[in-house]
Amino acid sequence: MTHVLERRYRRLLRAYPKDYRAAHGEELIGTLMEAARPEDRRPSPRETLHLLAGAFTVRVRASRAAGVPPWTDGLHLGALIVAMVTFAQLPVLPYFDYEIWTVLGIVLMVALVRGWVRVAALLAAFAAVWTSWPIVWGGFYVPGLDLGPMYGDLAPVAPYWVVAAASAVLAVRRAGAGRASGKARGWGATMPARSPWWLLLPLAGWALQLTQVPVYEPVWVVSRAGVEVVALLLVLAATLAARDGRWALAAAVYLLPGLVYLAENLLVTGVRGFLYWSVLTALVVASLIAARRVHTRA
Amino acid sequence: MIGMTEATYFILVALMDEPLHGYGIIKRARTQSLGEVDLAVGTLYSALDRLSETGWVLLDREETVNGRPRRYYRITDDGVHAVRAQAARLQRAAALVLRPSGVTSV
Repeated sequence: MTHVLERRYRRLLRAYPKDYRAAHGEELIGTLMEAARPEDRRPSPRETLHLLAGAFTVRVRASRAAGVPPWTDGLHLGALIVAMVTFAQLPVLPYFDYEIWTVLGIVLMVALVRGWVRVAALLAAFAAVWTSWPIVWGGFYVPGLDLGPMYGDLAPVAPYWVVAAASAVLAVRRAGAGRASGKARGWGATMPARSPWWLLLPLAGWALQLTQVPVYEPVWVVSRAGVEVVALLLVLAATLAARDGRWALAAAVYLLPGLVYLAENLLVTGVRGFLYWSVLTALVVASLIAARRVHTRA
Repeated sequence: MIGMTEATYFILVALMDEPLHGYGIIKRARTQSLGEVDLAVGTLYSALDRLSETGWVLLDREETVNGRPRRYYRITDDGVHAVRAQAARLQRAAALVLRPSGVTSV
């Protein structure tokens, strides 16, 4: 009969990914049972905590893109999230506004998910220039085509420039790396593909528009802030667990357009707004510092 | 220069004499640190994953004990080099305080 403690350890090990359990599960159970005292009937709080932390570490490490430098993975993830969040907020539904712009956004997001960074760099650069038209030309000349939104402020165009810059850096780097290894690969995948589940994010954003609840309603504002804080806490935990700065970099890329918004609206930002931006910035800075520190420790 | 956490240091030190399995590493680290390092199993295997990736530790062999796989881990030359470098750093740091003539000023 299986020992009651072993059954409880097996239940705890379900926190680890399936393939890790298949490879190491029995070995871990063996070590856990050897380390246990004969009278133990349940895992100690300390061992439980360390197993859960170990499972988190394994999951985080498994999510790293293989074969590319960590900073490119972080930059890629950051650009992807900024693009997703920007297009998720584009008022598309329920009246099917901005059709051409939405199609451009979908192609851009698919390109980023698939790792076609050169396609993404080109589309994002076009989107950045287009949306910034009134800023660049001072509203002097507006093209007759109605492709997508144009803005007179920096905040709404900042995300497009961030995505364009990040994709351009990745595209240029891969072009150089490809040439060095003698296998430059045209317009195809130059970064490892990311999970297609990311595409649910803009779909969810558009689906929310069908509810017709204005985005400035407290329920959305608070929910979004909550999701951001939880995500940034996970970034900090992942940085410490995997001793890797890639998620901290992605978080910094995500924060960048927000800081542009804050800078542009500094005079009209209230106490709550400052509190919100301070918390996000503090969490990102904490992750960046953690990344620097763990980088120098084995 | 790359520093090293206490857990990593004692895991590598434990493997310097001979390859050990998971619980063997926990026991030896506890003895060699005079009870100061008590590795949790979750921590040990996270560290072994990381050290395998760094190339400081290798899987040596696998045995079956009571129907369970028991894997033995071995330190690599790079691992020995890293742990020696860390020991030298610790010695230099300790020497600042533990001189035979006591603390001296320059």
